[in-house]
Amino acid sequence: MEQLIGGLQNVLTLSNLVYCFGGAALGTLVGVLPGLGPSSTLAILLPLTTYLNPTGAAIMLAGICYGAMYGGSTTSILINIPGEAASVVTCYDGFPMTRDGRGGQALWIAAVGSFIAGTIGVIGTCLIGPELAKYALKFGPPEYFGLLIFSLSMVIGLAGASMLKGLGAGLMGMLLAAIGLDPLTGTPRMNFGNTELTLGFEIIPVVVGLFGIGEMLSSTGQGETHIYRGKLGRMTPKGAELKKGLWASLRGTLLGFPLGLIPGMVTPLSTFFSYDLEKRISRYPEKFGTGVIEGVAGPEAANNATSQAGFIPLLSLGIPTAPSMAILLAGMTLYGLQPGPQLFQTNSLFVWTVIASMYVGNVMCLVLNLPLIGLWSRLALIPYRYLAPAILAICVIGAYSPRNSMFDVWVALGFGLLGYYMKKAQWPTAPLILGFMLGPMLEVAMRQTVSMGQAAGNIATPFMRPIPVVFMLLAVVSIALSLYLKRSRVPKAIWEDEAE
Amino acid sequence: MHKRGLVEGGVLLVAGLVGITDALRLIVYRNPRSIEDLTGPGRYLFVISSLITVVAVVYLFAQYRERPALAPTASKESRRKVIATVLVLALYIALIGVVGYVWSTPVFFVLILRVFGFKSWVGTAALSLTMSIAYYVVFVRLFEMPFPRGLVFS
Repeated sequence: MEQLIGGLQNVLTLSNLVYCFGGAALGTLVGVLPGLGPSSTLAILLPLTTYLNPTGAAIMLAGICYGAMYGGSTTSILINIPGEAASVVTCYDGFPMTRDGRGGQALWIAAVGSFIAGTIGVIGTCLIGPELAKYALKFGPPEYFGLLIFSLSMVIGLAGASMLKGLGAGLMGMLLAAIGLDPLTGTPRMNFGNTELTLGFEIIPVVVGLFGIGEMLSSTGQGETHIYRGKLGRMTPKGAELKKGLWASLRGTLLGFPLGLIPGMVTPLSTFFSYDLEKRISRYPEKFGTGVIEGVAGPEAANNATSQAGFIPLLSLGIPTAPSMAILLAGMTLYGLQPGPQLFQTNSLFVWTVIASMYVGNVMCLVLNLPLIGLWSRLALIPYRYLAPAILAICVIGAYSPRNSMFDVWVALGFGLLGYYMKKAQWPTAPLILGFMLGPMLEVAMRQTVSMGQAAGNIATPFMRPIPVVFMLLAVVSIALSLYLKRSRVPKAIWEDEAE
Repeated sequence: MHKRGLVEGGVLLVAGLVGITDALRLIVYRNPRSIEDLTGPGRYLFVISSLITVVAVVYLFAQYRERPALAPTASKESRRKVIATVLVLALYIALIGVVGYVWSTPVFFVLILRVFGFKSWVGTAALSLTMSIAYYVVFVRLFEMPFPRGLVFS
């Protein structure tokens, strides 16, 4: 508690508040644009944070992440175009509410539901994060190896409609990450005699290309968007509607939060589960799809709770569970911080400042979203011909900035083309980026575990410890679960765009 | 037979085989008399590349058996726009190396705005100049980013 208060005091300084507000505003600004979700928003805006101090940059990134999530629902409700895959479900009842003249209420409950989820999520992070980090300090290479295998199996299994494509994309991410110097001996691998390739691919150009340039290329064919011209109606739902909306938000939060702790649990899936739950427990399931408030409140809260929970494995174990978390990890690495169990010990004030900033960021998003909803909905209508050139220019700068290298800008363009193709051909991008991030960790853990086995006289011995065995079994279960979910009644749209 | 799928599988297969080749080079380089180099730089690469090769073969087999699906294709106009955007971006990156960031940015904005449908040359020029100045102020003056000055000016 003392540490949280210390973090809160730190975040309430003028400069950190400005970073938090700037991040939330920028995130909402970009997130509100149709087609741009938290991953793309973070990838595009990450370079802007590189000139700040690590704490300020992390606060701003968290703010961007929240803002983008809040913004994503606006386009679903007002234009019927989801800003991200996680907002697909919000369209089901959000847009019909707008057509009924209750768009204001839909936007209000989406914002308040997200706030409830964010608040409970922050409390959960405070309670679970440090305990998990303490426990993870006992982890050795075999335990990490097991955990990484489990994480990758979940990511590969749950991303996209085809598990084979998920596996191919994940392995390709791991192979691309292996290019360059070997992490333990420094031996060059797959560089083909090229000096630039010897250094390997920097993560920032990869994410800027895959999520920034790739997303912009995919959107070039998009025409003008048209907002529903009717009135938004009053903002706050009243009486029974308010009660139903708030309860649905709470249920969505309680469902989405534990799901977010599981690596690879993409937010679109948790939003669908929440929608499905609301429909099942409703006394009028046949009305879903015609503008039911629970159909907006539950999924929006689940979306935010899942994303918020992703911070726990990221900060405590150093393991990103989703593409947006992978980008946050890349950002933190760029600032010289290595998320993981030691971070709570060595940089406690930083961690607690970031956690406290999450709460402040949530409040700011609520303040920004409710009174300014008219402004955000107008921004969603800015034609792509104005936005795309500006965003592409930022992507070029973003790819260049980490190493001041033009080679990295070419890399970003290459990954942009790859991202565009993957989106068009329905190859999931989440396993590629998470494979890219987790691959080097897996390699180090695997080789250290083998060395331990060699020292013990039997290579298999360290792998047979209880924790790695449990994780391996969980990996098998996760694959079976993924196969079941893909055959069940989860709509295809949920699987098709899992890039957050 | 699914043609696009066959190409995708082929790319995966080539990537896997290239990885295996380099992994074997590293294993033999580390220990010429044995392949029991379990903790060396080639072993992990070998495992990953082998898995990719297996996935590629399975994927190719699946595509060979699959009926050609009616995949959603982009309209001609949209495809043309994507190609033009990529070409303008490539030209911009190349130009930065030659004339530097400051001079290549207005050119990029003029070209990309035209690609995105700006009809008026005067409007395009005015907007390009405004955006270039804004980017210059933020990134060059404020953030002091060390952009390349280009072969011509350095």
